[in-house]
Amino acid sequence: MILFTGVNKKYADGTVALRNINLKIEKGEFVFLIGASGCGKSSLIKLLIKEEDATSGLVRVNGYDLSGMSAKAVPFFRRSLGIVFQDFRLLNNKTVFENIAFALRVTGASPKTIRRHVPMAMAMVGLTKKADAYPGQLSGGEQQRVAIARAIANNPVLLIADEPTGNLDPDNSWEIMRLLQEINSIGTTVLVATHERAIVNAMSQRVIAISDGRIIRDERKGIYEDEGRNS
Amino acid sequence: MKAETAKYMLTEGVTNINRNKLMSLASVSIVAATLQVFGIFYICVVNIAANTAVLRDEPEIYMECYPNADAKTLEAVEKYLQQEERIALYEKLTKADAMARLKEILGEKDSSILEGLDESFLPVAYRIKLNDPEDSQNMADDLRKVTGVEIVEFSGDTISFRIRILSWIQAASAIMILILMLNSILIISNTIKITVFARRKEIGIMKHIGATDWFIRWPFLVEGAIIGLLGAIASFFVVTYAYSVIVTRFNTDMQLISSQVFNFISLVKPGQIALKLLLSYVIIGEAIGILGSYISIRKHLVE
Ligand SMILES: Nc1ncnc2c1ncn2[C@@H]1O[C@H](COP(=O)(O)OP(=O)(O)O)[C@@H](O)[C@H]1O
Ligand SMILES: [Mg+2]
Repeated sequence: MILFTGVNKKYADGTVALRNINLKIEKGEFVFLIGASGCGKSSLIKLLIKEEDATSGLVRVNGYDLSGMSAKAVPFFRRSLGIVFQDFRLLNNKTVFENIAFALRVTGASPKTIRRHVPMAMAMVGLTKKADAYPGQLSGGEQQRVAIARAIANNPVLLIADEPTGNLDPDNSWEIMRLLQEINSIGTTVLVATHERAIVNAMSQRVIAISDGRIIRDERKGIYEDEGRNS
Repeated sequence: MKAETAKYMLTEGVTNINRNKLMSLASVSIVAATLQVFGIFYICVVNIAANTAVLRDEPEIYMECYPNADAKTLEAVEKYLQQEERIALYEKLTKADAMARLKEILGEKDSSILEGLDESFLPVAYRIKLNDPEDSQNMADDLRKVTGVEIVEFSGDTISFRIRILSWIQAASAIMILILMLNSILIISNTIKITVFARRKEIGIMKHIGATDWFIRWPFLVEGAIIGLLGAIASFFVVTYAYSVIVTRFNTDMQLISSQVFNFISLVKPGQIALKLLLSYVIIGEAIGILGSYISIRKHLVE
């Protein structure tokens, strides 16, 4: 599903964000990616979704070899993923329904498919009643649930979330994490970058800890322990 | 492309124009201005070409003998024309023909001054057509040496002058239209750049949810195409309307004096050029619009 082999990432300005990353995530897993701010979590995710290219090493995701991938193939690879960001990234001039439908529309889905899949995704995140609301009329937690609905609308095999609760209060954060777990329970692989210590500890899932661009810990049923620096 | 997707692209293109009304209007105007200049040159060229064609059909040489030349001299002149190999055919205009023409020119009212005069003071004339128009100059020179010949005129000068003018106008218009087209393309690409910038967040989201580059580009191309089309339609109506007004007045005016003028100019009817003009407007307008937006999205949509 996800395979990193000897991956390094150095940005154009010389910043080294990832050092010799070796990582394997199997289909159906739920994985937390933790670490202090600036340790390289987002960089790892950017390599995963081919927003950035690895400086060296191999990245394989969903059967695609990202290093040798042509620009033309990238959109089709991305359709096998769902991506959720801290800042929701919804279209403010489109309703909840239209935002979710948009993910299907760009893939050339038929109106029939859209009419079937969008309500399913809205039901999954519990927002059926908000179909006609605009993002500006929703709370942060609700907006993030719309973003998750959009991410899962075309049944991706892998859901990636980069600090999905970063802008939310604790109650909403719990709700979002539970939702991600529920999505995982029906077979979708889920990777979540976060520094929600309490939630990570309570959920008892696989934890990959990064510090200064290196994987320093990878544990099944792991916890968020202090790496000896501020997080 | 599926019908659904095509509909989406069209709606998005229209939305882009609506969101950016002022710049869109400026773009439509510059396209229209370019096409209007093109239209004016096009109409000039068509008319000059049409009237050159009229001129080409005229006799190349017009020759008059002395009015008082005697019958023997005139006979010799005609014999000369008959045996001259460079001459394809000629038409003799007798003194009676000249009288009739004079009366026609003077009209009913003024022809009274001819009363009492006989036609003897008028010349015998010839319209001469050559096998090769290139011979006009040396043939005219030779004819002038023939005894009894007073005047020799040929229209060859006019033809080559008009052809030269025509090629100058064509060259000048090509350069000017090129410059205007480049300006239009620049302004359109700038307009599209602004929409691309206004929609950058949307574009980022589209990329993350797996939209292909072309899916992202199409609405902007549609935007450019609509601008080009609006410019084409606007200038088509302006130019054809203005031209039809000019043609009506000009041709009526010319008909009034045409009887006195050997080769009168007649403007091509608007109906004869409308279709060609519309077609070239749409093609050029679309080329400008699509090229302008393509330059912009190439520059601003790559990763
Ligand atoms: N586009 C970029 N160009 C240069 N340096 C970057 C870029 N993105 C991130 N970095 C740097 O790479 C390091 C890792 O950043 P990031 O992956 O965003 O960490 P995290 O998501 O864990 O906070 C940081 O030092 C950051 O400043
Ligand atoms: Mg980050």
